[in-house]
Amino acid sequence: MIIDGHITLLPHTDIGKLMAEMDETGVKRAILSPADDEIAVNNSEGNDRILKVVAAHPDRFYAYATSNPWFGKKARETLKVAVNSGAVGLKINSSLQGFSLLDPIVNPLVEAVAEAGIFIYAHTGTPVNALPLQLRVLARRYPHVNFIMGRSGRTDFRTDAIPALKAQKNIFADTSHDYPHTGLANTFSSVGAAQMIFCSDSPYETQKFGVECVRAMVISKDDRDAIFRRNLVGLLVGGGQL
Amino acid sequence: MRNVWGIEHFEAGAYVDVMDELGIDQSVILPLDGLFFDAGTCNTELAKWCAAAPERLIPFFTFEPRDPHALKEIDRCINELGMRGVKLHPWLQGFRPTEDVMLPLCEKLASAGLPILFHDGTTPYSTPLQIGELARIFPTLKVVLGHGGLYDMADEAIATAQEFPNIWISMTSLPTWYMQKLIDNVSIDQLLFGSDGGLGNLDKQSYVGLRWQMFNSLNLDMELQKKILEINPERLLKSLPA
Repeated sequence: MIIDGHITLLPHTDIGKLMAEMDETGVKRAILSPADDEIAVNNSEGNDRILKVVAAHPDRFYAYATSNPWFGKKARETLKVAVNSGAVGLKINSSLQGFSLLDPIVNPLVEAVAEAGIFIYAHTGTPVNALPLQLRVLARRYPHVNFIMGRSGRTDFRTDAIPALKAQKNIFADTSHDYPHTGLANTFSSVGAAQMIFCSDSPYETQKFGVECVRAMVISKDDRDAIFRRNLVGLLVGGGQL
Repeated sequence: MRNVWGIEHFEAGAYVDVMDELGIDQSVILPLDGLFFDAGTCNTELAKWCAAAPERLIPFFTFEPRDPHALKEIDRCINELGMRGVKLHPWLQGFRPTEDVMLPLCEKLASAGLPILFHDGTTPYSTPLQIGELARIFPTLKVVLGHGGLYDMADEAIATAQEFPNIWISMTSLPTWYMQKLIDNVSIDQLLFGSDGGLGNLDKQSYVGLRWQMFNSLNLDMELQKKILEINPERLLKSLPA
């Protein structure tokens, strides 16, 4: 079974077409994220839109909630409402949301994640404030919270992803936009399958392509299962607790 | 060539076989070692490597822009080695595209009709608009944005290409989403395809094949494909008469 750890659901997305693509690709479930303005400012609207889709197709989708830490107490409340409605993780994009991963304003939100027992998907790869090594420091501050390193620093901070992953076992590499015999092979040889989670980053890359790249990795069946499913299930079940 | 990043030497004939399998008639071959070791030695070796299949492999050269002998190296590469264009990587080579040292070099390349391809899409030295300044100063210089702004600077690459008709964009290392965005927003006459293949240490160059697969997944009509894959590169590589 394959679970896609990250899809951005643009507002105009045809859900039926998305599910057909998942069927064709062999993806059983996917975690959907709000998009663009919903990430930046219209957090509740975005969360509600995603939760509505999940409620209509509970056997296919999970929901990321998003919340911008600049909203302070309201940010925690926004997250709490979404989690109570079924969100399984928090998506943050410090580039789009306008904060540094090391700015203390994000701390209360991370603490709320820990309390809720969920995990964080954090976009990385965009300088100056969304970088893998910044995520390493944040993950070190919160060793009981699990993080998916969105895009794993792609493109030019890709090499920083490896030391971040090595240092913090509570960070997982996002496989999107990487290739089987280069980037994915490098991550695998550096930290093993235990810290890798399949994410397509659809629609910015096709789900089919992402699945094919992981399938083309020269690894054992057990390792592939860890990347495609088991590690993410661990986060979904274990949430913030390692 | 040196064994940087664990890449093994890959014979020209073997790569031509890969091109035959993929249906690629010609490939522009870019320097790598010369970006951080001795540029002159790299240029010589790369020209020799391509000479094994001169009808199929098109050599580009590089230089250190602050080297007082850079103009001589340009002369040597064009007139002695028969090389067809330039590759520069500003952040890797540690210079700014807007430095004055670039002016006589670009003037020389413009008069020779040779294209200059830049890595782009990353700060601080490789933003599309920094590179676009050279296109503004030298309207006859053929300037290629090697990555179309990568992920985070796609909008800036589009704006640069829209402002300067002598800017070309190579859709290299870009996910399909961003390739389509460029096609939708930039004159088709300014677009190129590149794989960014690294001629790695495998029997087959899977990365090149995957990039080719991604391009084909765009399902462009034949007219657009012909422009991007044939007509535009022919125009780009056509040097002015001596």
